[in-house]
Amino acid sequence: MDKSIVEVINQAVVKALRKEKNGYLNIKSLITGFPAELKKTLDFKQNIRAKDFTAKEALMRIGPHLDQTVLVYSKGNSIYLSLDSKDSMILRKLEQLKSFPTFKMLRKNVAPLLKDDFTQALNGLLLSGKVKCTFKGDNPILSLSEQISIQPSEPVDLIKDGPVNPDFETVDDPEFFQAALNSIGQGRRMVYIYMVRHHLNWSRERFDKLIRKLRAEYRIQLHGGDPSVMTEDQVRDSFMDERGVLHISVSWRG
Amino acid sequence: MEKGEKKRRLNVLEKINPFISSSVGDPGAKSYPHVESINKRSYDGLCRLIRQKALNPDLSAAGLVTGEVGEGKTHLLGRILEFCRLEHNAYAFAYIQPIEDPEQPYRYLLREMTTNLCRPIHTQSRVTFMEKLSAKIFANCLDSILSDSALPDRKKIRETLKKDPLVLFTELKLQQSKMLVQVEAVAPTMLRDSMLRLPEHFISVLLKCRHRHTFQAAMRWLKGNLVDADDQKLLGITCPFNLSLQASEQHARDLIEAFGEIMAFFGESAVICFDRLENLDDPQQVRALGKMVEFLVDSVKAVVPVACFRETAWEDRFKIQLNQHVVTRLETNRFYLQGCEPEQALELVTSRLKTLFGDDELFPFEKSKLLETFKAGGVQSPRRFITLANEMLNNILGMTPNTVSVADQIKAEYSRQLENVIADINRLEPDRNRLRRAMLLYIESLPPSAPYRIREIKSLFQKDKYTDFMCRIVFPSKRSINAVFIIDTEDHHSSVSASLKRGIDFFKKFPDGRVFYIRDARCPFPDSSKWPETNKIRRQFESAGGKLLFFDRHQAAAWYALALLSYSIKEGDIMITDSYSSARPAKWDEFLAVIGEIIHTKGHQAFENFDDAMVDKNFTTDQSDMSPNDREILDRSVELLKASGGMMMLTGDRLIENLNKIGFQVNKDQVLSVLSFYQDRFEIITTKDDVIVLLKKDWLYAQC
Repeated sequence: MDKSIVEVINQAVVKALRKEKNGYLNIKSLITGFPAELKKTLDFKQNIRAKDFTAKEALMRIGPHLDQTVLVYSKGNSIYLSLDSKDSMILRKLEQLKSFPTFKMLRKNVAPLLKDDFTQALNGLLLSGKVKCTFKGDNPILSLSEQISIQPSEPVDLIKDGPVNPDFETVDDPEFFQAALNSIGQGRRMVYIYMVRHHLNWSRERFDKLIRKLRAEYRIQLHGGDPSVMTEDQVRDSFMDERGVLHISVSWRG
Repeated sequence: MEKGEKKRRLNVLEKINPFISSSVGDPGAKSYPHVESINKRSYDGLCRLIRQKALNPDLSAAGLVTGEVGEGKTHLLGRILEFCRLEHNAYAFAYIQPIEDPEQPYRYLLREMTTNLCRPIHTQSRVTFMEKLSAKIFANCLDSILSDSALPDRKKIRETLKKDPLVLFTELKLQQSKMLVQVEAVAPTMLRDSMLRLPEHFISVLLKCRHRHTFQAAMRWLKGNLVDADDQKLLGITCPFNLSLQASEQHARDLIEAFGEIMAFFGESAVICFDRLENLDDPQQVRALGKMVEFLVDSVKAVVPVACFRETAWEDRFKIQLNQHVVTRLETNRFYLQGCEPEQALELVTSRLKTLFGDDELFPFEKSKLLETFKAGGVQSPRRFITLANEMLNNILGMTPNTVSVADQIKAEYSRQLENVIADINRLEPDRNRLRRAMLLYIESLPPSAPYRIREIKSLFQKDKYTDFMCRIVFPSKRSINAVFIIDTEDHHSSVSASLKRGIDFFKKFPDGRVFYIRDARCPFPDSSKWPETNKIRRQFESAGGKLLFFDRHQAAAWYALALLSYSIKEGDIMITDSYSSARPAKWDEFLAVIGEIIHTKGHQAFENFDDAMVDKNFTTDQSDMSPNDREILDRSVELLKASGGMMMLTGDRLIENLNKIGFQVNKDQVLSVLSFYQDRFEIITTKDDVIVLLKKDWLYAQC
């Protein structure tokens, strides 16, 4: 497959998702909103409507062009794409909603998650203390914990959107970095450095400086790999150390 | 340390650099000492898994080792091999190279398993695991026949075998004992009563490995090969002379299960390691690997499969291509290689220096400086630290920066690989698929100076089990012919005859074509007294124009070394140095260039013989079909070279310049592609920046 086409489509999807307030998009809406040439590349008619194709068909065509930063959520006949993990999706919604929601209300607002997945993710957030549960009258209501809500925005959101100034270093950078690894890795130990770089969207200097710092503290390990299967841009966005050695993936050691 | 001693050590290090090699080609090869703390968790976990399987042979379990380039996958397998040897029970260890032919996974697995079981358990004694199994069978069955036996030495034999069954293979008297002949007769029935699933002849053939005259035939049968009437007579068995692919795969499965069964019965177990899996290019090959692993886990007793993958390749590629059953079986016991901390790297350096000087001194390094350099990179792969130590040592010794070209470094790796293969060629079974891989690599990367070109290569082996591939050979006259390659390692005459007949049939279709019948000479081709019909077909094949290429051990080794080096390159295991500051894995393209430009140009006997067979002098000297322009280039080049002086040689650039001056607007590639076909008159030597074209004097004199 032509690597440049893969990149163009992936970038278009990431851009659309970044713009989206909810953090996710129904795959059919995404396709119908694509510019004509992208539709053509994906073998869709220029004036195609959502009822003309199924979500699965759309995923079959667009899936091979997406990298691991784009997550796929399937619910019934619908398929959603998002850059957010399940946790991030819930946290984002809690921050956006003006009133504190009940369990049911919150679930309704996080459309891509299946009931079981939603419950599991919410339980995890409650256990970690990121979300708290209080009672209003007889009804339990959910809110972000103070620790999270007093910050201008929650770390996961920062990671998603990147800070206002990508050159601005913060003491929390290692945490953001780790959260990015978890979010992209989805259970994998090693994550491609170029993906983390794209995900954080920091200035090159800030990102490389943090890598060097974490490496010297033994908190991460950099790994080699096979650059021949990567695009030029992906190689460029990996990490070259001061001795000219190219590192392709990174794992968190703690 | 005294000044004199320091000087002595520096002198030794100038001659022997313990950091020059950072990769492990073969887990069985002698390597530098292990540093126990590096990847300790993975090592301990694998050892636990092996011990547990030995205690409970029915346990379904497999191991998965993941780590990136240089993090020690093959080294870890080397440690496991050592563990298998040192542990009291001496588990069997089999190292399986990547499968080439996905159609025959079980035959391949059986063949590799059997070959590995026939390797000495310890380097001190030459006793193999296969012999250990036979000895246990004898020891087990001896008691039951003793009561009926009146032989005088029975008590002594019983006591000796009870103490150490392996003396059966080390003491000549025991080997010749009549009592053992009796055991050989009763053991198959006795053991099949205990293990109902054992195939009919398995025990009797296994016991035949004891005798020198039946060993080869027994091995052929145990590897799942077809055995001819003579072999069957020797082994005292009857079996079909020909089997379909499905039937031979089923037969191989039965034999592998039988090995598991018998190992479990006698409290033995084996570790089967799959390595270099990055070389499985085709999804079919990945699926074949999955089949082998699933079969070993679910159906074979007393055997633990362990697979090693590059971590990102496992996640991105293999995990998706493999059946979910296989993924879950492998991931249940997953071991991540953890990298090496700078402090561990110091141990690594010390241990390598110790192999030269016998103590724990870090000289010529300064500990603080070494640690500082290591710490700058944080946690890294052991290979990276060895490379750093190598760079620092070269600085200390004042060695000039590396000026050896990438091509020469890969060539040196090839020579090393070749030496290893020649030293232990029996470890590599005659392997049709590996020969095919090497030949395809070779003909696909011919340099411009090669006397022929290859076009339109088509694989045939998936459609017809007797033929390997077809292509068009293009000669200088631009005339081209169809050629077919038949690589044969079968031992049975009917299969050999069928292969040769394919060649004869090809000539009926393409009378001016070319057929190559290629055979590893370790697979015998008996004369007419033993194979009358096959030899008759061979003569027909030769008289039709077929070419026979029987590779002797050295020639075969050259081809196998090429295939094995290709595995290492793909796995990222071959490190090369551009300069002091950048050691990196050799790239695939660089490797292909080496095959083309160095091996071909400089010549190895195996490759030259191959080229000789490819080139037909009648065609190469035939200029009748040549284009007028090419003929003009040829004639003018001869004139220019004759006029160039006594040496009759010109650089490529100068030759083109002169041709341009006399009105030929041609480029260098065009000219070289014409001249290279006429090796009888030109010698083309590749230099760093250009080529040198020499006119051969003997050709010139022959024209006078």
